[in-house]
Amino acid sequence: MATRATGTRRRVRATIPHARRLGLRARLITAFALGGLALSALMALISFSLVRQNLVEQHERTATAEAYVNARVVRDTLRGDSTDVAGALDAVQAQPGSTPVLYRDGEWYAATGATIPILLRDEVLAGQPASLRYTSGDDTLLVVGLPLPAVGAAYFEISSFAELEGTLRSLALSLVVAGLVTTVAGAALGAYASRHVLRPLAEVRQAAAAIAGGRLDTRVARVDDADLGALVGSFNDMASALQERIESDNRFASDVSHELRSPLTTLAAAVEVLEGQRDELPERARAALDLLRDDIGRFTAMVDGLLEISRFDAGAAHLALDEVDIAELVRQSVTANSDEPVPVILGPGASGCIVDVDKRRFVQVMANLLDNARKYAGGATRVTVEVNGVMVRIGVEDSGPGISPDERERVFERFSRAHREARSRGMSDGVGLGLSLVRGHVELHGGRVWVEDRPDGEPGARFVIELASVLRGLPDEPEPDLGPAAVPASEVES
Amino acid sequence: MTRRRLRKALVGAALVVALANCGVPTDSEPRRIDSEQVPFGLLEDPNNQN
Repeated sequence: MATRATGTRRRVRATIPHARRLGLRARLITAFALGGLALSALMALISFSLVRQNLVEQHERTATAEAYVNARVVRDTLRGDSTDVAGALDAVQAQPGSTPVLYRDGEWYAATGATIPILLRDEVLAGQPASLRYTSGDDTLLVVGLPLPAVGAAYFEISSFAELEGTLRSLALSLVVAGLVTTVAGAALGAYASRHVLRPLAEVRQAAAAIAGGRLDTRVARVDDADLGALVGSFNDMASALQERIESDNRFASDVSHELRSPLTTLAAAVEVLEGQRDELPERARAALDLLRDDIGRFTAMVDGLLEISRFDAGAAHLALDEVDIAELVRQSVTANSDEPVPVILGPGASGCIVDVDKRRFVQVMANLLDNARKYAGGATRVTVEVNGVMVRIGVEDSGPGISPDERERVFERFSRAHREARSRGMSDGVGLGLSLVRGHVELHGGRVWVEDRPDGEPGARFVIELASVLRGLPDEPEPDLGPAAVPASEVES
Repeated sequence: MTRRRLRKALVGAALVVALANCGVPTDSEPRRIDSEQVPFGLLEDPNNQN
């Protein structure tokens, strides 16, 4: 048990990453989107850096040139009247956002409060013109310092980058929006491209589903793409090989069945001859004759069934359709194939409902379902005919042990496991092809057949056949007389 | 720290750095202006002409 539990855990761990992995289409879209994002981010970064560098240099050139002009004004003013420092600053026509500052004789003069960074101050007071970009509060400032040895002073001019920073923020926002638009456009391009690229894969998937559904001649149209063309070619080759193999198997089964039919006929005739002289046979020989007769009958039924299935597989089965009153045909089929009376319950609109069916095949379907109920569930308890829109459902119910949900699809397989087990327990003398033939006949009519629990919740199973009705046969017509075994649902006590 | 968290942290740090660098860059020390570029004889001292 411990080993099995460990194995289960390993399987779970191995499958989780698969479940989280994106599909091919999603991965293509994501790749295009991320590619667009990366490209736009790179372009935005380069554009922003170049523009910012250009604007900052331009701002600095302008501010420095203005500082030169204003420093000359201050120098010239102080040369004329060396004591009027305030007048010298007033003579400066600074741009809005600029602050002139003058240092002379150990004193600082400014129209408004201003701070000069110490590093720059020391550099300028030592006689070296210099500039510095620095942050003061939320603002980035540029200060240009010029020594004025002619008047024993130093001139500083502080200008703000606030306007430029606003411009850069707007530019950054625009680039971010452009990046998002590019990302979305990349995803859209990826969706468009993946739809076109993956179209052949979708066709392969549809073709595979069609082949799995029995249409073995389905193929995928050739594509020009070298890579996908190889895939399509390989798929078509595989489908051809599969079709050939299956048809070969079907031919083999058909040929074997045909070959067995002749000796079986001979054997059956010989048994008939022996049956005619049964009274002359000793007791043990009569018992052996009974066994031989039963096995030949079962063998003949199996060969007939295999031949019918071979015709289904080969697509050689053809319908001889007639418009029939389905309720009447059901009633006749039940009467002909039941040892004991089985009630036929007609739902609203079922009487007179017309369905295009092959009578021989439909009677065979009903016979097989009733035979199945007799062999495995002690016989059918009732048969229902219900009209649901344009569809007609015929249900055959029994009161046997029922069929578990896991087995409900398998019981329609040829020689199904459920049949083999029942046979090994002596519960059945069938050949295991009855329900498979039912499905073949019903699907040949374009209908469906399935098995479910009984609708009244009682133990047992209910086999349901669904066929399309002919619209003109629906309820407006007067209801015909019901036969002795046909009872409307409204008249049945629950 | 798992690889996924480390990757997220690196992406977040890159975004913060990128946003922080959106403004005007500042200087760590003063940039000297070439004296020859200064016009109007602002740097001339009449007392030291000789």
